[in-house]
Amino acid sequence: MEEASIHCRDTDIAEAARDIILVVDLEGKILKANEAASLVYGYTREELIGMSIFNLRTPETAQQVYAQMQQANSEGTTFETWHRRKDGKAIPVEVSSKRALIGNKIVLLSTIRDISSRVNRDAELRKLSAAVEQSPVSVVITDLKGSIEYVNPKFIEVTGYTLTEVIGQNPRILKSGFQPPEMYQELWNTITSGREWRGEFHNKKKNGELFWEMASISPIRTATGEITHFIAVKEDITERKKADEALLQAHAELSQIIESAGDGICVVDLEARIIRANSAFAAMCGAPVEQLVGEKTCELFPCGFCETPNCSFVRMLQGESRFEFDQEVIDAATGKKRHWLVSISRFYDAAGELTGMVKKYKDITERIRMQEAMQRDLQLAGKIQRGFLPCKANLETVIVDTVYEPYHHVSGDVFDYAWDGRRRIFAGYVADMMGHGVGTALQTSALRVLFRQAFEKALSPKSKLAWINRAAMPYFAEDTFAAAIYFELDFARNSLTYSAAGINYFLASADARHGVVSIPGPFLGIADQEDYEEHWFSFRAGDSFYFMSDGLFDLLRSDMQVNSLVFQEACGFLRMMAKSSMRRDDASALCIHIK
Amino acid sequence: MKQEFNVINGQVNVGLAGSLYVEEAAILRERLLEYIHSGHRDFVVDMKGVDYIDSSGLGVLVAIQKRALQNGGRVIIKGLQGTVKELFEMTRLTKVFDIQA
Repeated sequence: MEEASIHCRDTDIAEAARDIILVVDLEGKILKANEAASLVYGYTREELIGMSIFNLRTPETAQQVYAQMQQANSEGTTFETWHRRKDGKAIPVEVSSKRALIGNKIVLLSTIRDISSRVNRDAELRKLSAAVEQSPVSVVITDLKGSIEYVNPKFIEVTGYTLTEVIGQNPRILKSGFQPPEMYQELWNTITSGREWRGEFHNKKKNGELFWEMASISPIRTATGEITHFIAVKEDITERKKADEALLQAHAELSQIIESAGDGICVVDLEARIIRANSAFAAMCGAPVEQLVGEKTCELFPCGFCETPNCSFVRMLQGESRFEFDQEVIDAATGKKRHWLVSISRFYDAAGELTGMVKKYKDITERIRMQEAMQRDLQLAGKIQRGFLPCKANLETVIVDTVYEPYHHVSGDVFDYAWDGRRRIFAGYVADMMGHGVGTALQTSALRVLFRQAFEKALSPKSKLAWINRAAMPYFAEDTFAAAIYFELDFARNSLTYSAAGINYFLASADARHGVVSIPGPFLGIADQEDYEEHWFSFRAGDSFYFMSDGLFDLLRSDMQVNSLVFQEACGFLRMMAKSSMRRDDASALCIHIK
Repeated sequence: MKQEFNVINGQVNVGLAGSLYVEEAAILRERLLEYIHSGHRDFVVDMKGVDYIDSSGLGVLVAIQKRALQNGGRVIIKGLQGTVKELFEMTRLTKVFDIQA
């Protein structure tokens, strides 16, 4: 057998060593240093010999030297510390030192190893460890069978379990029982086959409280690819889930409200395509909501405004945010025409961009029908009222013509005349009830009756008006009054006597007077006791007189040419003026021509 | 038409300018009735800017006058000129209202 030996000097071994070897005296002076020492510290051998080991230490660690040297001198010691290179850089080292008898001297023999990589690795590991420990998400690590080996502080905080309570347990202790077993089965199958699983857990804390977690579970492998552990990273999403549910709730409520609206509501995009609609709208179209989505309202219900400035989209894009218009449509179910009141408002998306319109359709067919019925009623009332009034006449002494133009079907004006054959007096009046509408028109009936009664009385014109005024007060509604002018043509004396109660002017085309004749006099119905005036002048055959309400008189103010016209033409002119678009009131006139 | 209202020491001063037709009369009536309902009973109506008034306008003034009198107050009309003054004179409304220059 060969001896297993090599021939060398012992110092060869130290020189060849990878680690640093130093021989140090008991005061710390370096007596010997190997090649590695020079390489690592950056000093030459000559510089090292005689240097104190204090100089190899970083300032912070220097104070520990004596104690460490004493340790080394007694039992020997191994410790970690920091050394300083010639260039000032600090390196972490492990020092192994013992007393030795070398060359007849008691010395300390130290083996020193640069542990930079170990220290870096350790720092790296500590960093990763701290990351998991301090993570804001729960971390659970289990072995291959699913038994918990580690949980981080966040897990403890969230679940309420302590470390000892969970180590060795299976994570199923967190099960709330509200999720189907298939989910857990699928999870297990996924991770055991080496894949990552993501999902949401509805879990239960130690105290029974339920919460939601979003989890990501993956296998941990060795360097060779073998699965050794599973790691779960879980984030508490309970708040988010609550918000989602609140949103769904709100959405459901909103949908209910929109659905419960009797009006048809739909939302369309900027190309008139329906995005959503309620069932009332669907009923209008005669199709289910699902079928309507994507259809264009312009094609379903043409409003007739396409390509015009009145097109809803044009109006909206030009700045109108809410507007309405009427539309006629054919009801899908009955085929009959119906009236819709369409309301359009702007529709914005979550970012505030204009993305479409909300269209609301209100069925106003009934309302329109009622309005039309009322209109017909009004027109009928107007016809009836006209029936009460006298028409033109050709009597023995006078020719009478009338002008009667209500402002809106019914009128507040009334006129009448009568011929008293015994006394040969032709009397008449024009009266104007203050106000508009059916109420005012009805009150003219009271006036008509009162004037008729006054005709019969043996009173002078002004006394007749005074009588009518007193008699009318109870019939007039609050704040109502009337204007009137009364005249009598006495053919025995050939005199025209007249009295005014608010209609203070008339036109005369006569020898005695030509043009506007005025006479003061208060309105009927304001004060109980009123004094009226009466004036008179003579008339002749061929004279004409025109009594009218202020609605017509105002239109003539600037144009008195009526005077120069012959009776027939004058009446025609007045009739034309009464229909003028300039008027704002009922226009009536009683025209008399003396034969 | 312009309608201005100013309450000084409980008295409602009304300034009118323009033409008082049916529509304007309705608005004026509403506003004046509000003052009546809130307890005001003395009114001064300045008509110097009014160039036209029809029976509806007169009706409003008459209505307010009636109520003001019922409440122990009064309506003073001032600034009448031109055709409006003529109208008030012809219809003897100068005897119904307190007319001042």
